[in-house]
Amino acid sequence: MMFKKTKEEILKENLETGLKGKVTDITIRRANRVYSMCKGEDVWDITKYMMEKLGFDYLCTITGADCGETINILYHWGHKDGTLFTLEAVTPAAKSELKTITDLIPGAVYYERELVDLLGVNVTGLPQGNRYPLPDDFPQGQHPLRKSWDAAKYIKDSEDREAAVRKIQEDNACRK
Amino acid sequence: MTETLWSLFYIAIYPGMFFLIAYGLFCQWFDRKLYAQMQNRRGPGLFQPLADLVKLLSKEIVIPKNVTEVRMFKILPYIAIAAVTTAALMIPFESAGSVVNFQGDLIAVLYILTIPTVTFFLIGWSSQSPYSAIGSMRVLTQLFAYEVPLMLAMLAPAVLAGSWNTSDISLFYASRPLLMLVNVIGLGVSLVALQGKLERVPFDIPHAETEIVGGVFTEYSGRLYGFIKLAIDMEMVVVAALINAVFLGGSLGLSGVLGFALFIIKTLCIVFVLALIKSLMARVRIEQMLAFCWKYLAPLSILQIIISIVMRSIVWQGL
Amino acid sequence: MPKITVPLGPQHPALKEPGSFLLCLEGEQIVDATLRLGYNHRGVEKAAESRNYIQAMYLIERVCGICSHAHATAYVMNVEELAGADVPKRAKAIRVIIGELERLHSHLLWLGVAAHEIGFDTLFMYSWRDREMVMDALETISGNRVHYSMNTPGGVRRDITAEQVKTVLAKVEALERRIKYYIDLATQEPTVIARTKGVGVLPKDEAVKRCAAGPLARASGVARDVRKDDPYLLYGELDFKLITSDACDVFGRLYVRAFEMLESCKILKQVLNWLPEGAISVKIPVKLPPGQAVNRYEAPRGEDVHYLKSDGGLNPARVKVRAPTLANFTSVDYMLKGDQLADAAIIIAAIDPCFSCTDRATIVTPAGTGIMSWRDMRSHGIEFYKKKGIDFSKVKVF
Repeated sequence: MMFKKTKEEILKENLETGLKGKVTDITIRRANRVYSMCKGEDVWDITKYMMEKLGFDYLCTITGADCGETINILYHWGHKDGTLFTLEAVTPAAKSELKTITDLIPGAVYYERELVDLLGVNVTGLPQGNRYPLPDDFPQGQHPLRKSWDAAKYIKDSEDREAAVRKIQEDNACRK
Repeated sequence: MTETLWSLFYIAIYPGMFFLIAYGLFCQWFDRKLYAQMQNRRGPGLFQPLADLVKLLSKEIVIPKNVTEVRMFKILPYIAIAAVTTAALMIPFESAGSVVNFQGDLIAVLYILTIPTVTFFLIGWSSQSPYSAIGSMRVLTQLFAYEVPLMLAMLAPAVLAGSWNTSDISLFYASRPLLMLVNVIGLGVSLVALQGKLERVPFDIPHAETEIVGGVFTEYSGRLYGFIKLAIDMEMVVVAALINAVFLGGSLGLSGVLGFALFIIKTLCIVFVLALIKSLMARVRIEQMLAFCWKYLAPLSILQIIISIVMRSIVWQGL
Repeated sequence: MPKITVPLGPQHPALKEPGSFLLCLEGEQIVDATLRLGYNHRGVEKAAESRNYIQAMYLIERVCGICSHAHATAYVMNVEELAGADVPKRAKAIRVIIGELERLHSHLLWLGVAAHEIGFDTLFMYSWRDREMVMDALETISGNRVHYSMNTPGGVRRDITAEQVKTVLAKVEALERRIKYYIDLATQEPTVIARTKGVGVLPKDEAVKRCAAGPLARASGVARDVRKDDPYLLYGELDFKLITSDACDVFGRLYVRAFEMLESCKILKQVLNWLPEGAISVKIPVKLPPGQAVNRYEAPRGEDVHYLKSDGGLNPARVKVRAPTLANFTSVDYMLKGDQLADAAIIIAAIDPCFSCTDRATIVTPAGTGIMSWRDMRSHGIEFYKKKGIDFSKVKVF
């Protein structure tokens, strides 16, 4: 008896044959949910293939997760048939680097800026623009979503900084 | 001596400053209350406009640092008020006669009434803020759109009455009430154009708050802002009185208390129509407003003048 | 012609929340727009990592005021997926009811805001008056007007009685008549049409490229609705239409939202008239097995995407919230360019922006007192209520 393949199985097969092993660990968790892994440097190629050959046109979001040794960047792709495909790119935490996919899909720009600001992922080729979502005067090199980031220390630092600024302002006021 | 005292009375009490301020605030309340009722709201209390004014008068004036012409910035609101009061002296209120009465005062009133608009433009220009700058550009653009239809529409009754004097015009229509019907188109055109003059919806483009915050008045505060608001309220009264005199036969030959009551009722009716227009529409864009005024209002007002001339020269030759 | 730069925000009457749009104008025309977000960044995602799954749910619910149910449901669906729980049908039905009432409430709110942006205050007042009916209905069911707090991992917290069903049905029917009136009004009033037709055009291919979601995408002819594409809760079994429009402008967005309200009424009537019997929740363990889940929820403003990762501990390892405004924000600068300044406010409003959901997430400390840990907060609460004569110290909290 022949079983008709589900759309998830067809997707899995396409990914395996089309990308020659760049996408690994493809698992079908339930209907409409497919998860997979890849290396950080392959993301751009895989995205291009998915958009051109497999009909993925909607990037739901990009999630960055600090997993200790590595920073995993999850690309959630929506398909017209309802499949939600998650591509998990693994990058080393010490030197987390990615190539931007905004040239393929401009809608990714805010998600990538979020990775830069909150997780300290170096996204190369990102178009110029304001940072998002942290304020312009947020100290460089601090990334709140890293597990090692210490909120208490940050608050103390920023209070010290504010106090210093206030002191300078008061001094200036006195001089006038 | 008595003449000087009377002149002072005319300028300061009636129909000058005091009456205009009091009735202007009342009309503002009436307008706001009607607007609120039409929108299913309660609306303000009777003394709310007065309370607003007193509050503004007691507030500090903040003048932005980059205003170069500080003196002009301070004096402009008073010029607007002065212009409106001057115009009021030339319009008949409760009786057939106005304080300053001469042949051609209709034209003078129409010109003096553009002075507040021009001061608003200067107010925006001297404020040196991007919102005010855009507001001023819009004030001027809008002036060119509504002023021509308004003037033409106001001239039509004068053509029919054969006089450029507001008192004569109102007397003419008071004695021949049926002739008022000839000017219905002109009345409609002027009521719509007035929304532009008074900067109300759908023509409140110069201070559209969701686009340019306070428009030309963005940088104004305290007393100065209070006087600007007051000038607009007074302008509404004067304009309503002008419509009443030119289109609706003024006091209809009455004078004294009866004439005054009639004046109040008729101006409130005009305010009612203005409030109705305000609550029925959305704000249009400046280029839509220009197109509307030149495509519809201006031709309609010219049509009105033609009708008046035809009536005057052919049908009503006996006059 | 000289160029003027006009700041629209972060504080501006057209915006109900802070966001910055720096518009470069040539006369009245916008030639360039620079956008800046992040004024409302509260660090919710980080904060959720230091709370357990139930506490995080209440935090996530407070990401947004208007779509509180949407965020909470999307999060809870993730928790349930990780726990492998089978949520009772009645709970799902109640979630649908709240969700659709929320959509009505959000769209009516939007209609009012949009009317205000184009200076039509009468429509603004009318639609907000009628929105009170939805708020009353929500209050009848949940006891709250904004944060319904109906969800709990494994189901819902309150049941709906037959009487409540009757009250809500009557309100929905009354509302349906009003919505039909608004549809007539919005599609016939000449000034509304003049201000919305041909404004803020977003062609279909741009909408796809910029990953637009929700009514913005649907008004550009992209049939994208999670309720149809990837049905969750009971949406697979309900009869409703997917509203799209090929107008690609603000009028299209108005059209889509207006008719979506009618569809919501239809869904509500179906569910309320056919409420499955049974339990309203199942138990869910405090600790979830390691794993990850991602779920989508069609919030009134578009698609919410929630991602949840568990490492087997008490607290979630990573919570990710993607609010619809962020997805739609990329389209805003495209729509602004070439349009008039007068239209900037309505173009921005037409995506129904909600910056506080978009920016989410900070750590709030009363100045100078440092961080209050969860334990401190609880002992403070116990002290507080002891003074009022209630002792909460016996209550077990994991």
